[in-house]
Amino acid sequence: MSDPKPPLSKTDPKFLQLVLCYLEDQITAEDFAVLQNLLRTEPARRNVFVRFCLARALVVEVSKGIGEAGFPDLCKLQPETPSDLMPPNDLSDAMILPAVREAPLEEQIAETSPVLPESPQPNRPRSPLAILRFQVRIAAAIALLLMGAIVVRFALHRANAPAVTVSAAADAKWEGSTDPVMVGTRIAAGQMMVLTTGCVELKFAGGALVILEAPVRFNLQSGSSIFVNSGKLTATVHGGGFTVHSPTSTVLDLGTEFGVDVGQDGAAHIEVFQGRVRAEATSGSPTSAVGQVLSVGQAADVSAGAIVLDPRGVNPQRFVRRLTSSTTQLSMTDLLCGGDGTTHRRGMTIDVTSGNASTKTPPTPTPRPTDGTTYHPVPSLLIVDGCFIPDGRHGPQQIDSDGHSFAFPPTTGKTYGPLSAGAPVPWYDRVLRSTISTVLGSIDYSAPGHSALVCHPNKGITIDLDALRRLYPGRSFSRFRAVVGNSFINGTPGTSVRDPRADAYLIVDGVKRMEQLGFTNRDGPIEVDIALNPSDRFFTLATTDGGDDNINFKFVVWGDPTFFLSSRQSFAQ
Amino acid sequence: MTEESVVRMLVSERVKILGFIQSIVRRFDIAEDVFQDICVLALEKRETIPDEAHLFNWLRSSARLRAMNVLRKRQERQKALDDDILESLEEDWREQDADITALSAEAVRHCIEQLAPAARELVRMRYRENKEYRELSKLFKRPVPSLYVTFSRIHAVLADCVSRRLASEGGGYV
Repeated sequence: MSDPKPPLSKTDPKFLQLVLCYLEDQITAEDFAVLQNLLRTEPARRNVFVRFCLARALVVEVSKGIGEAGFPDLCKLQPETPSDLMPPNDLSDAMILPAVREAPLEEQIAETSPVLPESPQPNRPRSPLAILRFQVRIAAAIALLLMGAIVVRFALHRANAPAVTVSAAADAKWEGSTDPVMVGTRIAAGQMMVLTTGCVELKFAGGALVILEAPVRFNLQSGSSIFVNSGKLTATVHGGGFTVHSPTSTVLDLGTEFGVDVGQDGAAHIEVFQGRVRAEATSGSPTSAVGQVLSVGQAADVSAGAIVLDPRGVNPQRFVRRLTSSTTQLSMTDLLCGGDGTTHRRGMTIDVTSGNASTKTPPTPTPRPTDGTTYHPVPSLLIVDGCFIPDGRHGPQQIDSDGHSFAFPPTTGKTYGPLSAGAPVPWYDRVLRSTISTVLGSIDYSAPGHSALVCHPNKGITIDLDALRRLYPGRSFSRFRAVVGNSFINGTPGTSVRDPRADAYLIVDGVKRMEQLGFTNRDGPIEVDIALNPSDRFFTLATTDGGDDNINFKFVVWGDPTFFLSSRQSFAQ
Repeated sequence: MTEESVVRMLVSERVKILGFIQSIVRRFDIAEDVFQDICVLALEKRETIPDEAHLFNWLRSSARLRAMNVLRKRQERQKALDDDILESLEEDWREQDADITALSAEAVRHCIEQLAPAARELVRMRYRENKEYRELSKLFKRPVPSLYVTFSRIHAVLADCVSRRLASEGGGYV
């Protein structure tokens, strides 16, 4: 143990400000030179520097992990009235730690605390017993306190000690119970649990936040570990140390956010949204375990004895990552690119003649006749139900997997290129070799802050709103808004067509909610706004060729296609 | 070393190593990336590391090396402390390693709770909400330099509070 150091608050305040400016990366070159000189020439400054750095790191780390409950009276303060928070003059030490003036902090606490703390003895000699006690406390703290995380197999687990608290729930029920899961419920370790409906968010004693999506069968092993027999979870952990076990795998979190989907056969699919995890494939023999570190964006399938990277990477539509999200708008462009509506993904194309989705730049297409009105599933995009070529020549046609049909007008039965979600669509033009414009009015919907779907006739695509609702438990969709128009410009060199016509439709469960028939490029952007109901399931967006027996230069663009979510319901405690 | 013992040490030494890395790269997110990198490396090299003392020395030297590499890649090498200063600081870091304890986290938590509401709100907004000084300046209608003065005081007062608390429990100083 080293000798007591002079209090930092009694050291040169200018030097502390200098160090803080350096740590905040806001120091000027001149001040940096001063700091370097002081550190180089004055050993005492070096000691203060290190102590200050360490103290700040502790404050940062602890602040991250405290949670709102650790700032109990702060959340009541209104940011709109900063004068309540900050006195008119700068903060004095007394205002920073009001209880601390002349007397040590603990003495001041004793005056107000209902529990009398231990008497402070800052400079007392330490007996061997005290040192031993201190060392024991260190060991216990490492296991149980420090940064709130440690691997379960080393945790000092006490049977039946409360391991987790339900911190949020959405339409959730445990097996064998007809009552909804109550927020605030504490669950002891060692229990096998089955969530049959909805989602719950569990706060582990070690600090991890875990969202479980029904159906899921799991065993809470401790305050920092869970065994999942089958089902999905996502875990967010500051500082790492949380472990997810499954029949074939162990996932050790290294300070990150990740998802694990355990199938009925015990095989696990792992996706890393932030940070890194270490995945291990278990085979019953510890000596033959296979381990691999997975980084942000990576996904892997883990079965007994093998880890296979999934080249597709993470799929934000696979896992529920938020139960208390305040998100109110979901971009359809992002959703069609595999995102969760908020991730600003771009560059996916969907071939409506086959249902194949790809991020590869499409070749210059030619108009393609199709095999009629076949409805194609799009298996690689979980929220997309399917796609098709609208053509009313053969009567009403299927537009979703539930069998709803719709009577489109007769079309050529052809289409041009794929449906593009933010990917450039080459325009078949020997002169210009350009791409289809995404400018409607004065706005380029491919520019940052906007999003575009290029939907050259004839195309239709259907979103499964229930699959989308799954990602946002307890939320409902209130509206869909977009603009639609034709971005073709009359008189473009190499073209002779003027005012090409097209049609646009929005259909829900086979019932038309909006149609815009025969609009031309001269109509500019047309605003679209329809209401959505909680019972709506299949949302279909389609464009047709306007009935003039050709599909040329019908550059139909949907700008900023957006689903609006209802206001957030409060699931959290 | 076994994977278990490496993980245990990585978790228990996290804040010390992070503080050390932050003193070089400064930005929290970059420091976290560097820390995670060396976690991965440590796990990969665990069989070549004989014990905890070697591991800790390896963590420290790897963190420094990797932090400097990051600054070099970001073309921010000129913002880094000179090598001779980093070398001089090593002794003080080692001394702090001996002093700082796992109980520090609990002590910090306790001391934050003792802060005045305005100071606690600043700490919360800066380090939990990750608000920049410019945002805090607008929110609290205080000039940025004044906030630097305040935060340097907050950290100093918290450090002293933690030291007193640890000393009262037989622990070390921050």
